[in-house]
Amino acid sequence: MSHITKTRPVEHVSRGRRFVGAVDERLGLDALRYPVPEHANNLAWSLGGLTAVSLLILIVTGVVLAQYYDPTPEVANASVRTIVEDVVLGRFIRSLHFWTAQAMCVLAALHLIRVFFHGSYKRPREANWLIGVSMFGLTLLALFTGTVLKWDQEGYEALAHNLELGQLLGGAGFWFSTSFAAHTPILVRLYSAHIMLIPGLIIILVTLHALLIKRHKISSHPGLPAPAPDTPAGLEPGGTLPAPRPSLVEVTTPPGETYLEAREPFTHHLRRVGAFGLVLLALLSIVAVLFPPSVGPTPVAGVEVTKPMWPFWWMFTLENWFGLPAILWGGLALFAVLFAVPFIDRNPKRSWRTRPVAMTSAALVILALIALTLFMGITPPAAHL
Amino acid sequence: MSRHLCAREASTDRQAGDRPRVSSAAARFAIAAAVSVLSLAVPAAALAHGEEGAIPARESVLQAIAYVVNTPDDMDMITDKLTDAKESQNQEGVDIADVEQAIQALDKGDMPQVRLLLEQSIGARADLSGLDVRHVLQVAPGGSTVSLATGEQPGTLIVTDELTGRGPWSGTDSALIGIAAAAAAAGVLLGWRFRPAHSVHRLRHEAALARRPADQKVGG
Repeated sequence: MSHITKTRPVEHVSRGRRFVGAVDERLGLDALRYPVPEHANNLAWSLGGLTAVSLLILIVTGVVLAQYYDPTPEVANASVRTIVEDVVLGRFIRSLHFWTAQAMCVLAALHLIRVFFHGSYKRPREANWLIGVSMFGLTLLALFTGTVLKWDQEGYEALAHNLELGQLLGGAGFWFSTSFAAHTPILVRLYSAHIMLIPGLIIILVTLHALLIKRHKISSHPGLPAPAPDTPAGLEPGGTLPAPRPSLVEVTTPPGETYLEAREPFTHHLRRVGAFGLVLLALLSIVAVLFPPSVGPTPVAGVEVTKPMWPFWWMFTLENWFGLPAILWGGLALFAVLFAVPFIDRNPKRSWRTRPVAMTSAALVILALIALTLFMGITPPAAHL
Repeated sequence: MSRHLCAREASTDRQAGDRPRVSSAAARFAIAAAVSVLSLAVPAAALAHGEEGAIPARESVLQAIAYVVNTPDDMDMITDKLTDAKESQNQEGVDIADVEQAIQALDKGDMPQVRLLLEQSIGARADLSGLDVRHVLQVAPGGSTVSLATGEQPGTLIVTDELTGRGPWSGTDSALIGIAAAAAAAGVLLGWRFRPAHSVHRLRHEAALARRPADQKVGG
């Protein structure tokens, strides 16, 4: 027996590799090794992944906070104070949740801008743009419901605005009506939306987003010789290419254009996103320790003395100028424009240099949002309700 | 009442047959518009005035405390709310004598005393430290029939101070910062190790090199 063993060729496979192999055999994780462009490993092309990392941090910290938070109006504010003062690491976890929520908003916005800048929403990726914009909207909604949950004066005033906007929507705003479930405090319903409905929808859309990315592949870089008509780089559709260099792969797009692209497995993209995500978590942790958020006074109805959270400031500048309905119309207008982008911009070119109208329009919208936000920053809170 | 007024005005207008037709129509329109606005505004104003008196004094006192806590410089709003409380038809659960003393303290600018008196007036426990939060859960003396909030009711029994975010620096904070710094360093190291083999600039250069023969063919 021992003789046979000695003559058999021995493969030195580590335990770790055997474990990965066993898991892969059963779960098919190898499917994640599909090829993606090498440029996808750059920071700008990893912003979507970093947004997903933020979501993960929010889910983990949110699960911890949910163990101690009580959404009953009489004690909601006090339960947040208990988390901050009595729960081990409670102040840090709440602070990390608070800052990560804002980071997710910023990262999602930057990801949208990157996708717009590189024209990555163009055919055949229009559906994924729509899903992305929907997720951005849900992120803002999650941020809004989160501000209400702490049930202080600021959160309560934000809710009061929202109830008014729900009335403006008429039947469409039924969910934001207190008469929808008259015996249940709306705080409890917002809590259920914050921890279940909104994250659930985001997770479903993230899954669809990822599946569509795999289906259509990560878009080529418009700055590289690519199939975009504005950057033909001497490559004729269906034409003969020279023998590719070892790092380059010949790619044929749905319209039949062929180009060269450096490829890496998607798992390499994931591990780089993981590395960036670790830095993100660390930076957010430092901010969370240094600048923990306060807990405002318990709320009183009929008083309007606070400003909302900064991502909503641009809307409230509109409210100061045009009245309460401007919040609704401003928000709807922004999202209508975002949803319409792939249908308005039919220009097949993807390089920013060849899309002056799109670039100028986007720059104007972004500048307007920044200006409205800054204006609110220097304006004292005003009563509107 | 406004309908009668409107009818009377219209009747009067009909009798004025000697006026020019255009100005008569314009006058009719102006009167009708004015009456319509009045018919909307007068009852609304009356209702609003009635509502002020109908607002429970306890609610106005709570609002006044909210202003004291959030915007103590806004004397006008605080005074308005205390006046509302004094004039309220429903003063149940409020000691108006305390409210009146609070108004006197407000005139002197003694805000801690204003808050203390107002909290006493609704039987809430005063807590100016903002540290002990559990009193919020206690039902005010004599208020054992407090019902739970529904709908958009805030359920607030007493307005607490803001709990500031940053407390004194602790060992836990130092440990968290240390761990976070180590994680950041590890992330940067891993990010560098997993960096793409080629920068976008390099890829552009390589692709240009790779297609050069084809360009030359096309050119030749």
